[in-house]
Amino acid sequence: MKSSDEFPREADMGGGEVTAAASPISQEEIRAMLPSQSIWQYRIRKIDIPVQLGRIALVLAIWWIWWSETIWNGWEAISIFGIQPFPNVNQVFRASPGGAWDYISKYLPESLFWSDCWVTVKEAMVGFLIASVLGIIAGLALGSFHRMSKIFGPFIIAINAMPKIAFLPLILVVYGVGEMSKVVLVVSISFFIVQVPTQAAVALVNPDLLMVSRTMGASNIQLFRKVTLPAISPAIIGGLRLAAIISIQGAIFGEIFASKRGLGQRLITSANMLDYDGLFAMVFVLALIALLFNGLIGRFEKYFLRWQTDQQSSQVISL
Amino acid sequence: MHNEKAAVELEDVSLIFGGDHPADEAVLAVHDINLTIPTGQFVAVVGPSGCGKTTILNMLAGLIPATKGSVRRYGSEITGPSDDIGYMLARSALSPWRTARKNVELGMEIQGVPKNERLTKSKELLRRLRLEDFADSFPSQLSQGMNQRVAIARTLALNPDLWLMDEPFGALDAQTRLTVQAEFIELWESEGKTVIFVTHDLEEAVLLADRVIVMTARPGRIKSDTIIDLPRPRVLDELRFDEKFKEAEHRIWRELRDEIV
Ligand SMILES: Nc1ncnc2c1ncn2[C@@H]1O[C@H](COP(=O)(O)OP(=O)(O)OP(=O)(O)O)[C@@H](O)[C@H]1O
Ligand SMILES: [Mg+2]
Repeated sequence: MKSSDEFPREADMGGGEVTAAASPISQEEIRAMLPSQSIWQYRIRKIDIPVQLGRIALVLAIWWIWWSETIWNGWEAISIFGIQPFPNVNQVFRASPGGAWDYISKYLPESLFWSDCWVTVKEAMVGFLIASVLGIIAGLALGSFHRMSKIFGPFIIAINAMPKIAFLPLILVVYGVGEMSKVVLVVSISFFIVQVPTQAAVALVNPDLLMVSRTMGASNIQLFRKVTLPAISPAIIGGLRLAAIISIQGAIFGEIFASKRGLGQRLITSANMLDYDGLFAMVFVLALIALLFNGLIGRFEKYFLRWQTDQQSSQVISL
Repeated sequence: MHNEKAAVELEDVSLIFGGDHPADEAVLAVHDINLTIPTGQFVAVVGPSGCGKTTILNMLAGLIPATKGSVRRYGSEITGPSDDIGYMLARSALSPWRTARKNVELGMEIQGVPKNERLTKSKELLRRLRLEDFADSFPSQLSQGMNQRVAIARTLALNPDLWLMDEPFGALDAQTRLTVQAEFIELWESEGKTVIFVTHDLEEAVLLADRVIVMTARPGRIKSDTIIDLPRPRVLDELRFDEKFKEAEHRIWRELRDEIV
């Protein structure tokens, strides 16, 4: 306090006495500083009510716009270079929420509906798993061995560029109209979706991390297990996430083209019978299955990538 | 026999980058380096950016072979990485998927040290670097200074006989740097291993080292080689204001200045 005599100053200038020294503070004391909250308050905050309300509002708005008579009136008049972007759609072709619900509630108790669901999910899952395993192995091999990627690279790029759908007639001839042909179609599409990012990620592994392990005497196998594999896991999981969704689409597409069973079969049957309520009910069920797949991979991702910062992992969309 | 020979010896060492293709430009990174370092000496290396400091450390770590000349440890040629050399890179290069403790244990895992032994060692190192409360945090949850200390612990976990450190504190702010420097020098003075310490900070070099090497701009050669005759153990925050210290720093600065400007 002596200094304040020597250097008189305004009270609010700051400086002067030391008020705190670094000292350990217990977990309990730190907790006590936080606003108190029960486990339920925590859970409600995690649910994030604005997000949930936003989702519900979005669904309602889309449905309302879809079903509204007045909103669509007059838009058919718009014409750009002779093309009508908003043609008049007959009410009959617009599924109503009630109609779609009627369809679902009519078929939900039926075991045939569930076995159709299972057929589609099975084709997508088996195809997805095979594509993932092959895609990861191929991506790792091509990313790790220069010569291999030079030999196979041009062919893989060429095959990837071909529309897989063009092979469907051939696949049907070889594997028949059963489930196997859909699995093969799914594999041919999803393989590349996993292989491409895996291979790219191997090339982008931080060289410093490899160097550190090498100076500690790591063998090539150890470098792979301790550095490359964990470093590329975000890229692999990103590829898997995309491949899961594409696999369902592939299975459905194959079923629409030619099949005996499956949701795609139901979808095309409804469409052919101009049963648009049924059609939209199917689309809705497919959307739910896709979300389920996504959620499963999200779980997997959260566990494997828990070292990422929140910012990085906020891409994971969970329900 | 080991003690008779130098811990590190570079004889007429030159290193050229590139030049694979006849039309390529070949870069002479370091040129005719001769340097003998006795066991237990703390050597700091300073020099302008791009003069080949990191390149010399890479050669000592066995990551790149010298184009010409001989690089030896205790009289035998360095042919590849060795687990009794600890190399700390300029960037902390921690594995983001490993916790602080698991990062420290990386080298021991690679060398197949049993689990409980790894745990004892990593705990001890983290405690010495004041990180015991953060053993289970991931690098993304730690400050830069903390990550740098984890990297120091990882470098020392295999009890290396030679410590190679490439601007280990370069990324730290001035305050944190003072703390980490003090912690590091205390650690070193208790171990007495041979250290080659590359830095951009001349004050740091003179404060910590027994000997300061100044390098010329590229191609890197040794410009001056000065013994810092200050007593140990060194109390850094007092030494900083010591006349002998300032005089030594000034003398070396005059050598370095010509290379930088
Ligand atoms: N992999 C490489 N390929 C080609 N040239 C390289 C390579 N690595 C380094 N060089 C060259 O060698 C020279 C020395 O590089 P080095 O990294 O050893 O410098 P440095 O002294 O560590 O610099 P700084 O203080 O900036 O880290 C530089 O001029 C650089 O251009
Ligand atoms: Mg460098």
